[in-house]
This record gives sequence, structure tokens and C-alpha cells, in this order.
Amino acid sequence: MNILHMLFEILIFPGFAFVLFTALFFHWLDRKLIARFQGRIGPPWYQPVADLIKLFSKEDILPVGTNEVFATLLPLVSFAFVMTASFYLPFAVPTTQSFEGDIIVVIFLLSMPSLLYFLAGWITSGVYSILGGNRSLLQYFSYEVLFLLAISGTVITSGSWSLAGIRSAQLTSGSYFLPQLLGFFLTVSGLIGKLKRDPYDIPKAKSEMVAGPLTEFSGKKLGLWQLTNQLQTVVGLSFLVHTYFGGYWQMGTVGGFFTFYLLLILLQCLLSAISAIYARFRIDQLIRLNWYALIPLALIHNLFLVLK
Amino acid sequence: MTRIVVPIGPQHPLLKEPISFLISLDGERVVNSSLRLGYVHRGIEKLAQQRTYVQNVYLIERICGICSHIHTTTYCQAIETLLGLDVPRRGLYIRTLLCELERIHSHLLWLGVLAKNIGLDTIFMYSWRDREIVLKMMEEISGGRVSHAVNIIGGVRIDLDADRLTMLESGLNDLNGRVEELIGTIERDRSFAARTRGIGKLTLEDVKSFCVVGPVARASGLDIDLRRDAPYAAYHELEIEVPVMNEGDVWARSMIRMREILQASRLAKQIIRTLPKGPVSTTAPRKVPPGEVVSRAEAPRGEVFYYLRSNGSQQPERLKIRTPTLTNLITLPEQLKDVQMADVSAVIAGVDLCIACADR
Amino acid sequence: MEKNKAILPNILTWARKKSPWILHFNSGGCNGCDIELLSLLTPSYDIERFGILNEASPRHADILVCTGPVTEQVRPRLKRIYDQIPEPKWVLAVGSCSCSGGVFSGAYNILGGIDKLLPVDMYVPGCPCRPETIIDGIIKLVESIQ
Repeated sequence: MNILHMLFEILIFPGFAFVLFTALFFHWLDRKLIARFQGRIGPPWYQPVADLIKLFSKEDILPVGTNEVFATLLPLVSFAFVMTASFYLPFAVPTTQSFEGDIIVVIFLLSMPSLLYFLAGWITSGVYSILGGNRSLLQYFSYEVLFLLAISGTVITSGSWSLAGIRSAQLTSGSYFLPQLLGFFLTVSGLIGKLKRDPYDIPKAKSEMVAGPLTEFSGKKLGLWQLTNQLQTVVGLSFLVHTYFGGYWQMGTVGGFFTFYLLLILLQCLLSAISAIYARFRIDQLIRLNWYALIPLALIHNLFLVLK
Repeated sequence: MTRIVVPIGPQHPLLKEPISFLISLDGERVVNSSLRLGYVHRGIEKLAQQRTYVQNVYLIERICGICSHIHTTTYCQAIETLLGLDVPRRGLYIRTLLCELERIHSHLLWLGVLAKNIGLDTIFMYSWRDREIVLKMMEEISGGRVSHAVNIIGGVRIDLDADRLTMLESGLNDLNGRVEELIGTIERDRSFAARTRGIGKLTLEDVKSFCVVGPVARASGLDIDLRRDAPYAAYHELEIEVPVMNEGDVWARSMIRMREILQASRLAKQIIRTLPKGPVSTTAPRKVPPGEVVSRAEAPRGEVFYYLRSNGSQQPERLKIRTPTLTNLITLPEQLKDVQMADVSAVIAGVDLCIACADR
Repeated sequence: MEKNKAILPNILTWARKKSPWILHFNSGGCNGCDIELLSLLTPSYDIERFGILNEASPRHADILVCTGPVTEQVRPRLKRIYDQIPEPKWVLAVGSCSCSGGVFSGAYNILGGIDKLLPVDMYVPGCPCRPETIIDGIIKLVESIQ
């Protein structure tokens, strides 16, 4: 019975299947919201599911000169990385034991797909893929530093390197969202870079890079890459809820679960609005913005938190 | 440092039409670029020699879908000059009205394409939504959204009654408000400015040496506009002010085009108010006396040039068409020098290419 | 087991019907149909409500939408792009000139119709096509998927 229960937790709720469906739902929400911002109607609710099934049933072709083993492995591995990260960020339902330093593990697991994304561009022979891959690596060096610095604000205040520690510290002192609003927005900025969303979608910029590293991928592999990205969105957002909104909900309760979900939806609205408002940055503009403005800001913010 | 050569086109999301650019990159910087034309060459000039003058009006309209009306206007003008026809004033006014409506439609379309290319999809959606107003107006008066088939040799095919005029007036008022809002948005939006300012610069000397025409020339400080300098149709009776800017970058081009939309809508309103009474067309003979003629008009992209030679039969002996895109296209390798790869899309959009026009 | 066999193809067909991604290629037409096709993306028509996306890479697309009578220069490209699209794929010919050559028939540089080169699944006549007609064409093509 115990084993069955564990299996259920891992595979269905709150594990694999539930996270997957949440990811698909949020992808629909994102597209619908952007469509509404632009005065359109937007796709129906089943759209991500249909897209995914269709992509999985399509023919899988790779251009000559592409390493087939790598091309198959990369999307699988990056999917596995994000999926693993989702187990450390439970959806308000306790699954794995939190331990000291698991926030580092999560950051590592979330940053791996970006590297694999670069590799995906590198192994395929197309020009757009290689250039897109290069750009994603360039971008990686700016937003990743910002993300790490900004998120460490919560670690400094709570004095704990574990997600559970950060959460429980917020339950007593109140959420970090309002007191650390600057840090929150810096984290969001880093997260947008991680997810390669507008306005940081430089590696896959449609008007010059076609689809970036994914240009030559089709069928199942493309479906898996897209699923990874959708999953990464949800995991990244729930990471934000864990670190900045820990005071608003309680792990393991029904009310906590719904608050958690509501917060996720609100954050998704924020991301969609940012996507709809801004034009795409140029890579040099992005790096300048990050290294000259946002990263020093995050450092000063952290310094302020330490001194306080 | 090895250079990467990036092919853009013939099929590329940046381009609606097939044209091929080969862009050599040093990192993200463009060092060299070349372009290849001719993907849309259908041989319209040759085809026009095999058809009669009347049939050609239909064919000429299909040179380009965006500026379809200006092509037929220039073509009909050429034949009317050869025939020595006196086109009724009302006909000329309606012809001019369509020209201006088409300018609005073309510039709004262009703004959308530029915004899409720099990743600002919302502006693309908004400007194309507002463009539907002018398309509806054109459909209401002519029956076609993008190809209107309004011009015939000797005048126009359609007449405007009082209802249509009030519809046009209110539509233009509605449009004006929306365009002003759009202008305000792109003027204030810093991310739009960051992607367009200082990019694709052409100085006044460049413009003169490349013989650039249209909004691209006006954005670099060259004050040319055929509507004022060599008035055709009804333009000599209308008040025109030509917006000119000196920056010469994509930003200035977009501002020039936005002001031209407002200017075009002012012109359209003038036409509606002062529309003379009378017939809209005269009958034209089928055969055109021998001779040759040059006809010019100001398309949304610049000067269109038609040369027509007749041998006295029902078919033209030679029809030569030169469109503004062809002259502006030559400046692209110059403009693309030393820009970032990401700005290539903005620069190419900034010139407002119409490959179907250029290739014919 | 018998039941499962019937359900799986049904789901696949449903998914294909609900998510046709298009690739637009101008095979030498005037701009008329192309701008009408682009305006499908915009608020007045919004084809995303049918799940249709305008994709940039041929490898992501399902339906190749061609506009134009196929000029000699475009011809090898069109074939190549068609070959790059993974199966199952469909071709939609938009505009009179891509159906039969239309107004350009007789010109020396055109092939006269997409179907001389590729198997066309649906024709959308009109010069230029209205956006509603193009939507109708895509939807009818999608409905014909077995």
C-alpha cells in the first residue's frame, strides 16, 4: 500500500502527470492572455494538448550532418532536468524532503536546459541553429548571474539555504514579496531570460533566427523541447512563489494549494503582460542592461539586506 | 576570425516575399551583404505587350497587391496623355482619393511589419487592426480590399454618393484618432526607440548619390514629393505639406510615414469636401496613336515611373516600369554595413520593400 | 484491445485537425494574397482561435500555403521547402494565379499553378482572396483530414 501510494504521488498527483498538465494549462493561459492583450480571441483550452499530440505523431527528420544520438538525447535530458527540479518545488503538497542547500540544486537544475539548448543549436548543421545557440550562451552569462544574485536576497534574509527554511522564515516574518519588491522584479527579469520569453527571446528571435536552435528539429523532438520550455515556465514560477510568497500559503493544506495556484496564475499574467508590452532586446543591449544596471542593483540590494 | 554567412530568404519569416540576402557576420556584426533579386519576376512587361490596353489595366493592377491603385493610375495617365483625353475633374478627384487611402493602408501595413520584425507583436496587431478600417472604406467604395479595379482609361469606374462620402468622412475621423494613438505609443515606447534609432543611417549625400526616393529620402532630409513637385491627377488643386526629417534612420522613416498617414487623411478629407460635380469618366478609343510618353506618380514608397511606346495598334509596343523599391533596394548593402545581426530585420523593414514591384 | 486500436487514430486525427501549423511561401505572386494571409493573424480574423499558427521553419509546419504562379527562380526552392516539411503534410494554393496561373498565364517566366509541381490538397481561388476565403480554405482542408 505504501509503495502504491508513493507511486501515485510520483506519477500522478502531485508528481509527473499533474505537473505536466499544469504546464500545458499555463502554456494555454499564456497564449490566451497575450492574444487578449493584442485584441484577439486566442486559442481554445485544448490547444497545447492538440499541439503536443500532433507533434508527437509527426515524421521526425534531421538534416544531414546532425549527430542523431545527441539530437535525441538533448531534449530528453533537458526535460528530465526540469522534471527533477519540479520535485524540489512541490505544488503546496509535500513530496521530497527539503534539505539544506536544495535551492542551489534547483538553480542548477533550472540552468541546465539553457546549456543543453545551446548544445542543441551546436550539434545541428543549420546556420540559424548555430547562431541561435551562440546567442543563448551569450545571454546565459547575463541573466543567470542576475537570477542567482537576486534570489540570494531571500537566502540572506531568511538565513537558510533550503526552500523549506525560506518558506518557514516567511511564515513568521511575512512574505518577502513586498519588502523585497526590487529583488522580486530582478528575479523576474532573470527568469524571463531563462525562459527565453519576449522581450528576451533573442536566441529564437523569429524575424532573424527563424526558430533559433530548434529550427532543424521536428516532430517528437520539437514537441519535447516545447514541453520542456512550458514545464520550465511553471517550475520557474513556482520557484518564485516558494521564495517570495512563502508567507501567503501553508504547505499541505487545501487553502494553501489554491492560494499557491492563484499566485502562479497571477505571476503568469505578469509575464504575459511583459511579453506583450516590450520589443525584443538586442543582444548587446541585453548584456549592457544586465551588467551595467541590473546586476549592480542586485548587488546593492543584497548589501543593503546584509547590513540591515 | 571565421565569418559566418547567414542566408536570409527566399523563404524567411522576416520577408513576406522571396528575395535573398547573404549576410556575412563577424560575431554579431554584419561585415558584408549581397542580395539577389528576381524570385518574383513574372515577365509582366513582356506580357503587357501581348495584351490590349484595356486588358492591361487588369494586369498592371497585379504587379503589386499593396500599391495596386498607384500602378493603374500611372498607367492610365500615360495612355490618357497619349490619347490627349480630357479626364473629368470628378474622376481625377476620386482617383486621388483612392491614392491617398492606399497610402494610409500601405503605411499602416508597413508599421506592423516593422514592429513584428523587432519583436513588438502588439503594435503589429494594433496597426493591422486599424488598417482594417481603411480597407473597409476602400471595399465599400470600390468592391475590393486590396485590388480595387477603380481606374479605367479615361477616368474611374465608380462614383461616390452622399452616403459614401459621409461614411468616408466618419471613417477617416475614426482612423485619425487611432493613428494619433499609435504615433503616441511608438514615440513614447523606449524599447521601440532602442531598436530603431541610429540604425540604417543614410546621409543626404548617400540619398542623392543612390537616387533614393520616397519616405526613405524624405527621412534623410531630401525634400522631394511628386505630388507637390510635379502634380498629377487632382493634386495641383490640393494643399500638400511634405514632412521632412534629417536623422535618416529607421526611426525617422517611421515617423515620416506616420505623419504621411495623417497628411493623407487630411488630403482625403479635402477631396471629400471639394469633390466637383459631373461625370467620372469619358470614353476612350481602343487604339492609341503612335508616340511615346513618360508618366510618373508618387506611390507610398516613392516615385513610380512608367514609359510607354505605342505604334498605333491596340497593344503597347513597349511598357517599361520602374518602381521605387528598385532604387531604394540598392542602398541596402550600404545600410547593412556594421549593424548588428538583430538590426538586419529592422533595416530591411525600414526601407519598405515591395519585391513584387521591383521584380515585376 | 480492439477498442484501443480505434481510439488512438481518432485522437491523432483530432489533434491534427485542431493544430494545423502553416508555412507561408510566396511562390511569385503579387503581394495581394500575402498581405491578406498575414492579416489572418491580426485581431479582425485571428486564426489562432482555430489553433493555426504561422510557423517560421518548414520543419515545424503541417500546411504549406503558397501564393503565386511559381516563377522559374522560385521553383526549385518551392520543391525543397515542400521536401523539408515532415509528413503528414498538405498544400494549400491561395489565389487564382497559384491555382492556374490566373492573370499571368502566358507569361514566359511562370509555371502556371502550384499543382504542376506539388500535389495540391485545396484550392482557394480569388484575385486576391479575401481573408475569409482563406480561412474557409484552411478549415475545409483540415476537415478533409482522415
